[in-house]
Amino acid sequence: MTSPALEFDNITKQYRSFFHNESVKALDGFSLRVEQGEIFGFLGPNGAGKTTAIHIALGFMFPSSGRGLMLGRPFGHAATRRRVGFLAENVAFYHRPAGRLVRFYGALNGMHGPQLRSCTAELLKELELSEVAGRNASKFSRGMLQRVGLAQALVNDPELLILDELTSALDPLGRITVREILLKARNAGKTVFLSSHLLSEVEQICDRMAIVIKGRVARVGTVSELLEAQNRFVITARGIDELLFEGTRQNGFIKITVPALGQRQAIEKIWLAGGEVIAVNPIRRTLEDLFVELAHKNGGPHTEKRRQ
Amino acid sequence: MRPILLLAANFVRSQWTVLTIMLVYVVAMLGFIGLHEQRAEVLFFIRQLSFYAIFLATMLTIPVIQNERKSRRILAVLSKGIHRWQYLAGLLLGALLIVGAFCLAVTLATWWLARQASLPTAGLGAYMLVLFLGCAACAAVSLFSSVFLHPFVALPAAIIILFLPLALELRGVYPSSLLFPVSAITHVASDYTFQPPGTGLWRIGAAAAVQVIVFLALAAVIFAHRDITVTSE
Repeated sequence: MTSPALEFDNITKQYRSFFHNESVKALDGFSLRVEQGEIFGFLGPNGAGKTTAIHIALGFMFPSSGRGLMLGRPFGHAATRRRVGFLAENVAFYHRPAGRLVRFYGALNGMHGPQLRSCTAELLKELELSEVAGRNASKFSRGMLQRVGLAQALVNDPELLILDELTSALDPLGRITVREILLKARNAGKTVFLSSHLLSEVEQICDRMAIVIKGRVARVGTVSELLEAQNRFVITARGIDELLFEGTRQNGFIKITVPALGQRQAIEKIWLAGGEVIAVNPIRRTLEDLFVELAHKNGGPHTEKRRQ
Repeated sequence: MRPILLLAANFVRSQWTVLTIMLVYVVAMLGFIGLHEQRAEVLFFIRQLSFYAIFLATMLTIPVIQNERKSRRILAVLSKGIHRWQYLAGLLLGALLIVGAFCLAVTLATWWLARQASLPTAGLGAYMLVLFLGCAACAAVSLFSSVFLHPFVALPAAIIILFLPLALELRGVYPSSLLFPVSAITHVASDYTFQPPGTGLWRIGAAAAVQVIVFLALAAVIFAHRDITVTSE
């Protein structure tokens, strides 16, 4: 069994106010395992603790308790970060030309010479930044800054890519480009850890995902597992009397919703009535439905402030 | 060493306006004082600019960490494979490159003025070197304060660490200049008369160099254990 790309083990992070009379638990017994070579979606409402978890993994902050591993080494290990690419939410860079910025960040990761130059040029081309590589990044739109951010995260050809709200400012074409890059990275055996609010984006490209609510993992699994977890089916049939079945009629077909256990019984009933079963489909709720359901089930989305 | 140099060069680039303004000021003062070439004015020139060098070193380093954290630029840098102490050393080296350029400009300007006014220049290089070491100590202490304090608190804290003897002297207490080299250097600067330096000046310079190492090490230890971001969530 290979070691996970990222592993959080019962991590708690508590922020305290200056006089320690108020505290906020951003993460509360947070455990998660991200395997190598997958695109992992990391979802959660604002204030759920997603960014905190990412910052702990990268060593920007320390957990109040618990521990974790990134590429087999403890969180915060400097040499391991050379094998990681990171793009922060609300990305901010020094006021320098985009091409030089990417080279600067690559050089901080130990790259140099022709290798760094060729990697930078290739990435800028892939992200459609070649023409503006000489322009100062301070004059860029948010979407362009995110492309530069992705370029600096990818310049060292990382094994693990951690992206915090990557596509929030990208236009549809930019999102397609980024999606292709992420899928290419996954196919090359890299791991992508993608934190996002864009549920459709996550649904399209992620192999597995976790939903975080109030600093805890509320649900984790493959996208299909999570969306088909309702255990209800829709049977589409025709040639039966609609009075015998409770369902909705549409273009001569009747759609009957039944629980998983009642599926066989319902099909037999249709056959006995002389009807024909056209299709049996599991009910797929949308990611949005699941997201809202979990948030409500956990008593609202946000972490709570506590007075001591 | 390479990350430190990269970060230092980046710091210099981000502060080039400050350096340009200071160099323009030196040139302007040089032009103004060059018209008179009186001994008193040349002394005023070097004494005043010596204090500016100390001020510059402090003001460059006090807000730097806070600015980097607030702008979130620190995230992209520290997500790379560098240690936090390298980040601090890069910032310190960058500040010292700017202060060094300023001190060099002051040295050249003063040397030219002193030659015009027929003043001895034998001790000027040594004095400027010790002044630079004093500025380095100022920068290191300021950086140390700013890794765990807000700039508004870090500035008074740095001033207390650096200039405590100036307050104590008013009460008749004279702490060792080796413990407070920057304070001793400000005394030397305010009394500077182009005389060749004695061994005392070199000792103060060495103490300032030690202070740089000690405070950079302390800053690195504290910074390594601090959360550098508090998320917006």
